[in-house]
Amino acid sequence: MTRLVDAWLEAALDSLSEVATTTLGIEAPNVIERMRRVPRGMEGALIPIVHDQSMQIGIFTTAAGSAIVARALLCMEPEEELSTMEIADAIGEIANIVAGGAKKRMSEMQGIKLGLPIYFRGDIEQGDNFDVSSVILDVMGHPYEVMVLSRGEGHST
Amino acid sequence: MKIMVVDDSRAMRGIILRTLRHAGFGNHDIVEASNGAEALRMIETGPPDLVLCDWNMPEMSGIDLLRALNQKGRKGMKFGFVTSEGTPDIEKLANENGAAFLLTKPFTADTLKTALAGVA
Repeated sequence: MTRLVDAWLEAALDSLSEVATTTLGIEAPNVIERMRRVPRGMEGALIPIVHDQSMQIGIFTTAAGSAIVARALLCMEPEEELSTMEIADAIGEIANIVAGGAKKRMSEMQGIKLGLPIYFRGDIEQGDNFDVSSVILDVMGHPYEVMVLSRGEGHST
Repeated sequence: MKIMVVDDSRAMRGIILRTLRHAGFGNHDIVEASNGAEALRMIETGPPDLVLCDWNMPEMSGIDLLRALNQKGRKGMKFGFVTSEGTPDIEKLANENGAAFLLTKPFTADTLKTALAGVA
């Protein structure tokens, strides 16, 4: 049996590759490292996954990394200034599409609902009794982390 | 033809507008709303011929907007979803409420063109 967070992470990575090559028009990102910890000191967006087991999918990066993606989505030139709201909107939408694609790929789990994106900067406290699976990716030379966080350890068949 | 794009993400509205242009719909009158409630107010004053609507939005979701429009009588207004929620249960709910199509994000100009073929 596969850990639930690992199954969701693989679904999210597959979904992210599709988003990269279609919506963003870039190459599918390479996985640099796999981890069992939450990102620290980055900015990004979390999508709540509402099911029997409470989970979240998150995408995080540096300020420069989020600006690259926001400019790509908003068709802005490198010298154009971005507001925090524009960055939050762009990163939130990417996380939303990735989570939607992951949900579709995890179709054996019925009755899943996705929440609206939550944008934040800073550290996540993992807490006790949380299971996490995450990766560091290279997106156009910038580090991106994709994370699935779950309360309790579940398994996928 | 008047097309209304309803999505709480300005970035996604921009992507839909760009893709509409690439799919050959750039010469249509296109208006934007940021959630279902705003769309409903705009539709009351100037109804579009086609609504392209997200599913998950604050204030009023896409399916709630479609239900509200159905109650008022859509009078030939076409309605399609453009959403990251592409699961069979969501698609079934969209069909049951009379949506013309459900296009899953991410999408391309070709897939948008195919979705709009029967309605625009």
